[in-house]
Amino acid sequence: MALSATELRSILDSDEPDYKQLAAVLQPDDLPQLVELVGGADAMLASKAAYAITLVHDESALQALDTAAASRFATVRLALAAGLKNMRGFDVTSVAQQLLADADVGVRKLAIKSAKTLGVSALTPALEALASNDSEPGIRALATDALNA
Amino acid sequence: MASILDLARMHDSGDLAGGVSEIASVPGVDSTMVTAVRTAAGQLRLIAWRINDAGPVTRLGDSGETAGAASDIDIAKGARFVVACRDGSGHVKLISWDVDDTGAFITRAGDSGNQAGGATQIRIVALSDNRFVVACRIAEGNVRLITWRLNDDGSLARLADSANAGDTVAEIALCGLSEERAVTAVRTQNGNLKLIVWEVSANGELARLGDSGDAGGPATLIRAVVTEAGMVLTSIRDGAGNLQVMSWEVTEDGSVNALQDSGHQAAGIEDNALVALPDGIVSAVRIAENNLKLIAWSVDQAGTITRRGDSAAQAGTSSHIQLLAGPDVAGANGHSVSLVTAVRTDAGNLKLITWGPPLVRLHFKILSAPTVDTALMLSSMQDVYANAGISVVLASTENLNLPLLNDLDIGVCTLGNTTVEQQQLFANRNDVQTNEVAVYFVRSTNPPFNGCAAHPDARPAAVVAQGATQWTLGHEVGHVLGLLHVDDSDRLMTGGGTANITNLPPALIPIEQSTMIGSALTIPL
Repeated sequence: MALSATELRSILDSDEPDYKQLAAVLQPDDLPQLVELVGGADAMLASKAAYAITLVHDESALQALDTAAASRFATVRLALAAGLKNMRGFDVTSVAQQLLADADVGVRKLAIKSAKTLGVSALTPALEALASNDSEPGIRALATDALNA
Repeated sequence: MASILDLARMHDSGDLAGGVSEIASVPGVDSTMVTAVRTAAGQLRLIAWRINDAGPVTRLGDSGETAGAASDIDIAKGARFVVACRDGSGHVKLISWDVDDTGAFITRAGDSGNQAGGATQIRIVALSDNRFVVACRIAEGNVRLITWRLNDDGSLARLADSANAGDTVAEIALCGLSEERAVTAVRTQNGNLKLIVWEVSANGELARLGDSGDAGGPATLIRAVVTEAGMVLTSIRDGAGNLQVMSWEVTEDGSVNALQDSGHQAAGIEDNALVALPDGIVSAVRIAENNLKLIAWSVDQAGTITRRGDSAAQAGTSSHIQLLAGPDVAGANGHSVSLVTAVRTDAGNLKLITWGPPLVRLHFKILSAPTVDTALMLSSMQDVYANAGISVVLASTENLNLPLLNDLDIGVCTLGNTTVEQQQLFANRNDVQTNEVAVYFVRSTNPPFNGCAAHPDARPAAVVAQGATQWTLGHEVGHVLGLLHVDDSDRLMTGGGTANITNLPPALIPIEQSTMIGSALTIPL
């Protein structure tokens, strides 16, 4: 059964949300609420909701990832990039490639870290491109490290 | 201005004094104080001290061996310092002393000779520059008050006494209510606290006015002070060994009415001292394991007593506790001493400890400016912390260009657990002292938090994310100072999100204030 809006907000509104507790109770039925929050005006809440989407271990979450990946808030894309590592076993290649190519250096950094954890070979070309060509030396180093993992 | 919440330990006198078995103390002039002690050899000795504005205590001088054997020592200050004590033959003796401007020379000016008989439990208070009242327990067990005039040559003339108007008592506390009135707070024959009001005429005649009857209940370790508003406050150890503070009204006709009490507070107290400050009173007690603890109380016009906070575990084992208001004179650096405790250490030596306003010093390290301006975050935190008596100062601000740490991996964000990225970021501590808190403003955290207070040992720090609320800064620093989440949306440390605080400004409760003051990061102002 989906969390009520109050229950969901009581977890996400915390200054330090308990994502472990949230992961234990989130259901696919919660995705519409999370997507709505991702599209809201509160960037902090939207980023927490984006991360929460990655805790819903269900195919139906993949579509919600696309919404978060298209967010105008960098912090939402950052949260998604950080959370992609939680989606092992699901095909998140497309979203991951999108985030690895993000204009924001932080998004790229977190996407590389998630890609390293996911260990998906389809992401290798994108990581190689970053390792060779990224303007930020730190990103090049991280991508190289991910390729060598 | 000194506050009852100025409970941060500043400095102490170290090993500047020897062994003592009794301690009495009184403020002097120009940031000095004088202790009158019974030395290990049983001799009375006066020691003058300077209380420096930053807290250190300097021994100025002492009376040497000029005073002779004494016990039951108390001291008051009028035109001169006057010690009341039980001399070597068991009689009450008053001795007046001059302390020169430097404090280096303490000279005996005169004494009361053989004008008083045998007594114990000797207390003295100055009603004016040259008029003093002594309360003591005479051989028959009754409390007796004696009035004295301090003459220009330093001698002391007995004026009058209360004859047999006093009850049979086991303990005595004494305070001056005005130039014409004094109050004794005594432990009566049946073990109860009783307040007795005494009128002192122009020629020193004493008349008993009213008393509190049996309103006080069982009491030992009785102390009494008078507030600026003229309310009498007593602190006692009750029948169960707990500290209890009571407020009393003394009416125009001298009758005494019990107002309120604090309920049963600190358990198992041994020593007990009490002092009044402009905004309330402070108790100093010896608690479990013989540790000294200061407890702040506010008292409203109706006499309602509210515990506001305490000093936690900042002081070691102590006994024979005395508590005085500090000079409260701010030096060029803004430091000031609000309270001074004079105690007997474990080794039996006299030690003075200074206490002042607690302060948290912050250093902002900005990687990304937060949406809520840092100035608003800081002022919001200052407002909340000020209600707990804690000042917050922004010591420095530095912009950091660290793009790969701007979206910081914080892992599980629990105390004591830090990620490699947190350790890298928190290594940036330009200008930050060991006991100061660095706050790093980052764009985001991974996973997304408003902030995170986990930090490496010896690098107290917190991160605050760009989307944090105006209260997140105070909340995270609260964690750094030792506070945990609470299930109360009226409070700063709510676990339900500082965005959802219902009663602004959010509160810090006394037990949280105590924890914060007990933190090594809450340093004296």
